[in-house]
Amino acid sequence: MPTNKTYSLRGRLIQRMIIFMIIALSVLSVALVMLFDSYIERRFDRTLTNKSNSLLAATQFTSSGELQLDHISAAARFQEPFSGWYWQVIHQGEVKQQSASLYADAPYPLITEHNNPQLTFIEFEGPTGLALRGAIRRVHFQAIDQTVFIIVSGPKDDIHSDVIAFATRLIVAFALLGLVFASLLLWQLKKMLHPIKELQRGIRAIRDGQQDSLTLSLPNELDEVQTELNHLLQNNKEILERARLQASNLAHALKNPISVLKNHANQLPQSDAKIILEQAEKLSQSTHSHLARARLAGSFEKLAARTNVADTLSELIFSLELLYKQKGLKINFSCHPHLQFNGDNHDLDEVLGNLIDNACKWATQRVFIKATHVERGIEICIEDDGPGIPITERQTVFAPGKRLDETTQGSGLGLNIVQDIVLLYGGTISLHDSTLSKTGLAITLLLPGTQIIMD
Amino acid sequence: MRALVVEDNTQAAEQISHALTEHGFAVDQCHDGEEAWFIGDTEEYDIAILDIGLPKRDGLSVLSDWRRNGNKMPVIILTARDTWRERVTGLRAGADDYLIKPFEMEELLARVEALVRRSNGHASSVLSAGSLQLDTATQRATLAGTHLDLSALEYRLLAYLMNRQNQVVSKATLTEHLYQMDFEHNSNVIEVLVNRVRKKLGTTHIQTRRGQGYLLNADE
Repeated sequence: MPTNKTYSLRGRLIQRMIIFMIIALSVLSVALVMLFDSYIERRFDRTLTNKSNSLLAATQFTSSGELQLDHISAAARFQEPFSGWYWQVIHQGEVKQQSASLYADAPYPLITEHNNPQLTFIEFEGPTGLALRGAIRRVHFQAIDQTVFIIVSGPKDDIHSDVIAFATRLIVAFALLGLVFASLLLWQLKKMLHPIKELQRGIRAIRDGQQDSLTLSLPNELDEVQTELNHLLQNNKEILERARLQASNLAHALKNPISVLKNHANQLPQSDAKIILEQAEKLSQSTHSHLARARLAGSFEKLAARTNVADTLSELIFSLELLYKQKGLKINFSCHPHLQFNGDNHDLDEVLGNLIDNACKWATQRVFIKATHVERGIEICIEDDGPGIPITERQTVFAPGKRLDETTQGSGLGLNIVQDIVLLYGGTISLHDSTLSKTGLAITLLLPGTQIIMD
Repeated sequence: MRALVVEDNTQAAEQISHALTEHGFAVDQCHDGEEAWFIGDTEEYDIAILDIGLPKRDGLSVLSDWRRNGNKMPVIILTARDTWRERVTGLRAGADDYLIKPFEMEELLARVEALVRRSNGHASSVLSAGSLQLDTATQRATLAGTHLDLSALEYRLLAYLMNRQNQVVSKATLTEHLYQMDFEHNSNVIEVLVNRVRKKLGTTHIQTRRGQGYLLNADE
């Protein structure tokens, strides 16, 4: 990883979207509340203005110069005692008339007179200590040269309670909206990130050897990634193949000179030949084992490959019958035609080839191979009627370079490589007594595989 | 007996040829696939030892072409290619045996001998015709139990005729199977050789069929 701090795209997106949403919704709600607040205030003020206007319209002076109010509409809110909804008409410092809500026998002005000809809104405290907002105006009746002071007020809390109620509802609504958005976001994210999960699963399948390239149907952006990945895999495979080919070529190139050296050394006096033969043998063993391991090393599609066991057995037995024709062996096998090894055919060739070859080497007359489908995979048992291996020595046969009988041909590496391949596939290999003769050896392999059911 | 050694490593070819010559074979060598394909189809051999990795042409395709042309000579593949898949492919292409390098010369000789014997329909390494016995493994010939002292060429002649008992073998065939390619053919040499062997065996074993060739009589 290039950065030492890992993060999740999903987490980061959710985090940022939530912060963004909270900021956006908060700004929006503050703006809306402010807008609503000013709207409510204006409506409140209009109520006050209307009342003030109607009071002004009702104000008349009698011919004696007495102030008189006609036809005052009795709005219910101005009737309720100490509701905060008050009005007063003041003339020459005296309250000539006031709203029923003020409920006082000896009324006195709510506020001192202001010398203000225009309608003005002020805030002040009412007689009960209630915060009020009032509209005041001082009107000069030109004709009779009299001045009337009109106060109309309402409780300031009315504005606040409306705004608070509005704000509460707004917050609840926005919170719900936020939740809906968040769940939509999560759902969408899950959908959007699904192809990435798919890609991840595909790559794991390749690493597990279940397939050799990606063939997913992905959105454009990821499809390009898939194409690039496939190119990378192909490239990797080619490099691996090249390296393997080179290892193989090197091994082959070494084998010829080793062969020449050994044959030449055999012509020399034994004292001179000894060291050459020993060293040639060592060279030969290491080229052999390194070549075998280079072939085994990290193949991608090994576990994805499927190999028919019966086909492999018949090819090998055809070959071994030719190779051991001189010995006149009877090599038989029993295997279901649809038994399948879950692995590479070269690997099965090597495992069975080496084991059956070994059995043929030691057998006196018969070699029998039986392949069956068992619960844990496939079981292949190779039996011969040869001299067998004493129980005490059976553990050692898989050691590299081990040769129980130095007189027979072979590098002594066959069984070691067989074991490596079997272990690579998570299989097991065990040695038993053969049923073909008293002494013979049976080798049992357990490998991954199935028996295909054909319709 | 005549053998063809196809091997691009000249020293290896030299070693194998030497061992085979010591073992009673007339040996031709060639070092690339083209030449091997041509010689193998035009000359008569009793055995061919064939490498697979050859210049110009792959040993396997050479072998396949020989077999396609109906050439039945026994072939041992001698190669460094040691996977079982390669062995199966080689044997399926028509090889009779497959030996992996590095190899023991005795192993190769034993297999060559077994293959030649098998191709002539003999099960044992000891061939006998009446009182005459020949062990191809030890290259010893005995007449009624007494050892015969034969030169390499004399042994080759006797072994060839013993392998084809009761068959008439022409002088031309004998020349082809007893001498290397670069040998200057001279009709006289076979007659001289047969006469030398007859002196050691007595006259009855090898009969002359005038105009046809020679025959080794098994009943004598």
